[in-house]
Amino acid sequence: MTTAQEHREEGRILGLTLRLGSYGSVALIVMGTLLGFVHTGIGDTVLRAGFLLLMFTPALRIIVAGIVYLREKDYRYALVSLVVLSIVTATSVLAMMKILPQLEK
Amino acid sequence: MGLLAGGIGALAGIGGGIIITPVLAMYLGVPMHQAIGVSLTAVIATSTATSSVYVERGLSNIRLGMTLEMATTLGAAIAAIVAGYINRRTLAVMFSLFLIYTATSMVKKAWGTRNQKHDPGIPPYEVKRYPLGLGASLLAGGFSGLLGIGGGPVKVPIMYLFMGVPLRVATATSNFMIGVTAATSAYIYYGRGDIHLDIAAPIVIGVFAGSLLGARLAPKVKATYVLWLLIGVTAYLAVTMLYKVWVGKF
Repeated sequence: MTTAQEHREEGRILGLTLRLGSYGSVALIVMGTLLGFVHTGIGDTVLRAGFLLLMFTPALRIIVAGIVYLREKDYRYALVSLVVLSIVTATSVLAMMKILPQLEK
Repeated sequence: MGLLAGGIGALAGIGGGIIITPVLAMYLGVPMHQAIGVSLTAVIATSTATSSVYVERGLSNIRLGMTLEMATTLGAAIAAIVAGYINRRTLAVMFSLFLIYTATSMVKKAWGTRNQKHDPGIPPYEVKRYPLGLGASLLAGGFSGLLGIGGGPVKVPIMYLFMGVPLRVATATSNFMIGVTAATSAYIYYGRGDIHLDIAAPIVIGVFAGSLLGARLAPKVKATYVLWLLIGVTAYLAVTMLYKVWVGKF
């Protein structure tokens, strides 16, 4: 069993991760869009980085949660985090391999 | 448009996905699969931004959320892959049906809260019926991957009615889970080339600003009015979408 104190700790660190990830990615997307008006090449790169950060923030949040649970010696939820992370990682690898069917347009 | 979707979504406690996909597909001429992909990125942005606040306030049940995420991510991955084999008209019909379901569940919510004046706080609770919750989460994840939405209208009632979770906690926990769920299917759409960044960028910026604005305004605006507005919008979008499929314009 965990105490309310630990729950608050867990919430604070996860909240911070989510906040940094969302503000950071949106800042990059705004910058990328603005740069796109002046210089397309750099704009595209920054924009892409912003979207990658946005899409990987939730995965980052799972890793942080897993570390918190390990430190609390809460192995049950550390395992839960690992399972979720495995599904997410497997999916992103599958998506990158481009073996999925192309769509009917 | 993203600003509007994000603002209304935050005020009514739903993600913007339900509005973004049909508007992009019907009025802005974006192909259905791309509309879903763009909507997914917007859903990640709103969920991440708003859940950071709920998580810090201790409103989301993180452990419950992580447990159910085992099912939502699996459902989302499978559905996102399956979506590649489904044609756009079938997706449009499924989307319309989900819009109608969402509209009716919002009618119930608006009706149920019409006389509620003050905030009742969070009573102590014990989570029960995990297998049922996991099953429903698999389904919710599936809807998310297939339609580019968050799946809140499926998860929240299950947690609230069957798992013994207070409504506000259920909403905050569902919101927390949506980011990971939508991200999982977003990888598939991105890998398939269905997330066009030039369309997604203004939408993401809009919903992000809109959800922050909505969260600020929330205490000052009567939630019921926003809810009825949203019921009207979703019902209208559902009917229009079904009509367009019917006459073959989709």
